[in-house]
Amino acid sequence: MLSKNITVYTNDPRDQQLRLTIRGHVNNFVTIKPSRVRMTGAAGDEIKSTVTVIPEEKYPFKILETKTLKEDNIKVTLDEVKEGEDTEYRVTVENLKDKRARYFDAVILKTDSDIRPEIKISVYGNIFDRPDTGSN
Amino acid sequence: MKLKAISLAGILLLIAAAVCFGAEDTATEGPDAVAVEPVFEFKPVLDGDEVVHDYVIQNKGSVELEVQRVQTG
Repeated sequence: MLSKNITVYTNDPRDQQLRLTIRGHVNNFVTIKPSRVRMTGAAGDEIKSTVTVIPEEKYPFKILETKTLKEDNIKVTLDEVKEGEDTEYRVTVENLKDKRARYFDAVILKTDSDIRPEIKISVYGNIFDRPDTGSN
Repeated sequence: MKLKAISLAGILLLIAAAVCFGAEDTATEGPDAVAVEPVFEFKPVLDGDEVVHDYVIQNKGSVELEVQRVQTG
């Protein structure tokens, strides 16, 4: 159960702090591992990361399409994997920058679900210059 | 993690301006803050859904109640 508190400070000398609580159950629609992608490496190297997307049994969905927030940072490929009777997805994210760069992007998964037509996965890129090896 | 995923940005505080200024004999001297329902339990929601609730804080005292600060966490 999720529970969060709010403290209200007042000028009431007997009760200067009021504690309010909000709580309830939050159900998972999907499991995404990892939930965020960090693309770190030297320019020119292959920098890739794979994210596993597992629909919750209670809320099955299919991924219809993948998109990215911006055009030239990353490339995305999608594979459907059967795990027994369950279907999960592997989303492979590949860096496209061939020079030093830092970026924030996102993979957008379009689904056939009425309750979650889109799922967004944040992608952070930190591409640095290849260190000088000093070979001479 | 579920705890982090939910958006609680929509939580609102509604302060009821029930200022009495000595109109009632039973009013406490000075401000007297009372949270009508300090605990709100919402029905099950999906990860990412927004939950909005208004809390009412009444002043049962004889002097104006001031809310000086609100802290979430």
